[in-house]
Amino acid sequence: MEATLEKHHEERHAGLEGAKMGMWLFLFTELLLFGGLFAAYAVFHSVYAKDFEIAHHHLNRTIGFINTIVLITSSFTMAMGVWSAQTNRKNLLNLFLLLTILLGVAFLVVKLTVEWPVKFHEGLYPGGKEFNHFIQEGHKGQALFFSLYFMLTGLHGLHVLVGVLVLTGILIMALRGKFSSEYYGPVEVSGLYWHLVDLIWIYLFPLFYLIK
Amino acid sequence: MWIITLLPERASTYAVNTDTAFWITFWLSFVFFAIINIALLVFIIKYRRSPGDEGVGAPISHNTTLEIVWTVIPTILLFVIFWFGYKAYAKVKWPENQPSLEIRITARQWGWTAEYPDGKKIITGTIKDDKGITPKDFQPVIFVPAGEPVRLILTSQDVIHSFYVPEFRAKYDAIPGRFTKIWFEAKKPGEYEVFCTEYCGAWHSRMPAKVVALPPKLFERFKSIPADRFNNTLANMPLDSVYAILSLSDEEFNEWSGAQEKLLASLSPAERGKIISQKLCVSCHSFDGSPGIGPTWKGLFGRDVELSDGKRVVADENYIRESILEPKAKIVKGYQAVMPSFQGQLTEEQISDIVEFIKTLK
Amino acid sequence: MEVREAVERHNSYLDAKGLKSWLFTLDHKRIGLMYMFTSLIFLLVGGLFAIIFRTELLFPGKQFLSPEAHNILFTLHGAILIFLVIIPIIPSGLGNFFLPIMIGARDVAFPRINLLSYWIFVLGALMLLASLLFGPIDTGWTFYTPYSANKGLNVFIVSLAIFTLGMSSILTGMNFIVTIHKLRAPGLTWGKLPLFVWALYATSLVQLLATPVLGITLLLLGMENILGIGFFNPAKGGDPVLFQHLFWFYSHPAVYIMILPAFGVISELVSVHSRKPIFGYWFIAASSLAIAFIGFLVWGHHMFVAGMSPVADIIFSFLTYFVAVPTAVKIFNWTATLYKGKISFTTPMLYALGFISLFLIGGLTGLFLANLGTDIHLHDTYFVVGHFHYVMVGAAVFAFFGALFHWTPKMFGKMYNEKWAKVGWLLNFIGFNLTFFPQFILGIRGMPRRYWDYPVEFQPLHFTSTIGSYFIAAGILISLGVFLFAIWKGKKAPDNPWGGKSLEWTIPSPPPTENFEKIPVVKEGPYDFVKH
Repeated sequence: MEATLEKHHEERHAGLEGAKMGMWLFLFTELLLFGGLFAAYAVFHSVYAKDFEIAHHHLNRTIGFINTIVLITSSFTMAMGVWSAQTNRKNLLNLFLLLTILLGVAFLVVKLTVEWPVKFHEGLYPGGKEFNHFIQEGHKGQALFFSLYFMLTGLHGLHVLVGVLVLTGILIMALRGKFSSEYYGPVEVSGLYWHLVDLIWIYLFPLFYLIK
Repeated sequence: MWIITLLPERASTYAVNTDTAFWITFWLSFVFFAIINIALLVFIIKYRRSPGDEGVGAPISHNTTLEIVWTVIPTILLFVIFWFGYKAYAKVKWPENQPSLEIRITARQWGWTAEYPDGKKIITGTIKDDKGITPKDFQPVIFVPAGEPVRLILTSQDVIHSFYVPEFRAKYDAIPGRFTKIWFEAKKPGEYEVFCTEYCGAWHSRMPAKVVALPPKLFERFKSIPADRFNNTLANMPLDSVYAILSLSDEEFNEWSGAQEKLLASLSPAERGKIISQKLCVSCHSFDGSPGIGPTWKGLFGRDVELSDGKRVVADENYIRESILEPKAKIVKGYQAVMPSFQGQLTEEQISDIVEFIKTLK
Repeated sequence: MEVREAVERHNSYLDAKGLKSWLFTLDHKRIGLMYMFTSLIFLLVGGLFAIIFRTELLFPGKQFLSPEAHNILFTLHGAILIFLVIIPIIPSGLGNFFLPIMIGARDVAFPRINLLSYWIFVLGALMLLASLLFGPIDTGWTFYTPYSANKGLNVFIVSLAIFTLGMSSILTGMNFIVTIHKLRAPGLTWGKLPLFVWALYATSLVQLLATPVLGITLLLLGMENILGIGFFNPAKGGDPVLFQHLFWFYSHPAVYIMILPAFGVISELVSVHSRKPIFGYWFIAASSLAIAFIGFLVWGHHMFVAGMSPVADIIFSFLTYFVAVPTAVKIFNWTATLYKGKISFTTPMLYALGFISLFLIGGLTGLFLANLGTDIHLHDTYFVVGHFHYVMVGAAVFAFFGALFHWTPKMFGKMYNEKWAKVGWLLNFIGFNLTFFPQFILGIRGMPRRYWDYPVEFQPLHFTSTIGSYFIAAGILISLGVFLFAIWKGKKAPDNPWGGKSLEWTIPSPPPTENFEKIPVVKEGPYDFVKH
């Protein structure tokens, strides 16, 4: 029994330092996961530079920009959340977590109700009418552009969704008063994850919306 | 006898470089293997523990000099191996004399098509049976002059294949959507087997073919035959007959050519269509009703065909023609859209020959 | 728990009974065993497939398998044995069991993630099997596009399955690295880590760095099969060679995921069973890391005839030779460890010796394939099959069996039957060479791999190879039989039957649930065999 307690204690102990290290390692694998897609982007962009330039005009720069601002703001509120936890400001922590979640949801809402539906309507999705048209007309690069667009923003959107779910869990724990300046590991670790999700978008935005 | 030479006959000019790299790697490996295994044997015999001995071994834990020695020596030997490999590779990659003859090889599931600059075309097919493949199944896919460099431009119309001639030590992938190049020079006349070495589906093991290196005189004769006549005669004949015909005296050869033309003229369109279909189509479409990758041709003509989108069409001349040129336009229900287009590969006349042949399959 | 037993004997992690106590356990030892037994089941399945298609290849022409069936069998053989057996069996199985014990910890850093990782693994394995319901999988375990790009739901599910298995692999790797960094017992410096732990550390690094790339590659392949995208399909503007680059960027390092833990095992076995310090500890530890690192720079040697530029061909060939150096260093050091040792011919030692000999052949034949000249001739022939199996079976599977018998007394507190275990070893050793040595000659003579049929001239060698595979089947069945019988009815084992020095030999057999009553303070190294 004593040993069990000790084990539990050790686990929590390894948890603070170890969990952060584990999360960094995990984030690194996430970067590599997206790295594979970025590599594909680089290869096809070098082959079909012109097609990519033409295709990117189909994307709405304004909406992309708004979403970028939304995510950057959410990164800020997340950082403030971690600071609040570290400095034992529990109400602020709740507030900032809630804000971060709402911003994440806002990002997804814009993506799923404004951006993507327009593309679907125009047939600019893998298997869509306009998309198949590109392939038949020999503008294969434009088809690849939209394949990459949907794969990358889709995978990223999935990560945002996971982030929102994780942060909701953290918020529930925070509302129950689990965190304090003594124990805030989960807040910090999920914050790291949220920053990565944000960071990836910072790369996605210019790659798709701002091609020269 | 081959157990001594181990490698197959060296039939190309650069095979000797590859084999040099092989044997250098082999003997260095062998020495290394022998040293380690002898050491292992000596140690386990000499230092085996006698029953009841509970003692421990000598407290030797490291020797930095030794470590450095056995790090550095293998490194140097590996450079040697790399160097010989590179030398062989350079020969295979960059011919000293640019080949004047370029042959385009198109791989498909499952067979090869060779096209010469003058339009000569040879197609090999799939051997689909339960018996083992025999030397006879290796039908010629290209004729090349012995003693002269030849370049092959490889591509594929469906999935990746690989063109491999063991006796030449030559191999390269045939990749859809791009062209890859290899060259070789056959040292002497002979027949050299071709294998596909990139896994490409069910009948991957059954696309046997042959490179036939001809003596200069026979190759001159081969070159002199007009493409049309070659494609309708020699391209479809067993190798023995090809040799016999290429070896004819000029007079006999002219006589034979004349006779062939007459014979050809007497073939019905359906008969001509059958010859093409047996090479190009039968690997996916059976003629006798048995199932395959594509629908069978038996009883196809005039039948009501249900498509994957639920529509129905009648299999008439236009439908078949479209299916050959634009196979993805209409997909028969229950089948995958995997057929490549034969646009540019078949002439209009050949397509209507094929249609005539399908009509006969009641 | 019976009080009497608790008084007489320490508690054991095997005490808790009932299925639930296993399925939801957070104990790394139990999770390790679940991994190991899951993999052993798949070892039998994958092996059976090999026996079936080897039998088909006894003679030229069709015996009883259609080419389609043959292709499905060799694909499943490869996919199952690689992804479900050889990759997890040593690190996730035995590594899970012994890593925490060997570093003096009570468990891994994240026991819950460890259990999650196991169940993700099971989920992936089930998905792999379930994909068969949606159509035959005949793409080969390499999934080369565009052959695999137009298949449909079946390939989509297989790719998701392997993606899932990859997630499990990543979580385990992350867990091990944090464990090694954070949970070492006081006094256990990096220089005192058992070499098995070093090997697991290097393996985990490779798992973390390589697996995500395979994940995304197969995810894209899966999407090609259900959506209209075509990154790897030239008909849609894609590039099949890009697939090969991405695939081998993982799958070459994956070879090291499979072989590095085996190296670690051999370092333990050679030292303990000759009761002598391992020779060149730092060189062996460093060579594991060197192999892990260089292993990332050599993937292109799979593509010398696949349409890369000559410059890339030359660079990749050159770099590949650098992997051979640390590998050779390891072999020299193991051999030198035997010098002036007290060698006992236990079954684990026989497996270790067999490993060195077979791996040597596997490694040396790799030189032919890294060689720009000879690879053109040997690429995609049976030579590659022989080389691969000498490394994966001759080395990795031999190391696994060596480790299994080495640690059976510790894991279950029971001794195995030494005589029958040696019979199993002998059958494995003979069968293995009989099966795979002829394949080198087949390849050199020009026999391509993945052939359902072959010209008659190759028949004697194919026949020998098939007969050999029956010996392996017998050897593996006997070895597993000996192992299971030991658990069931084996004699009680002492706590330290081999006189080992690493921490797992200081605790009772089978280990208590908490491993250590008190966290040890380590003073001696794991190979300090000294006269008393």
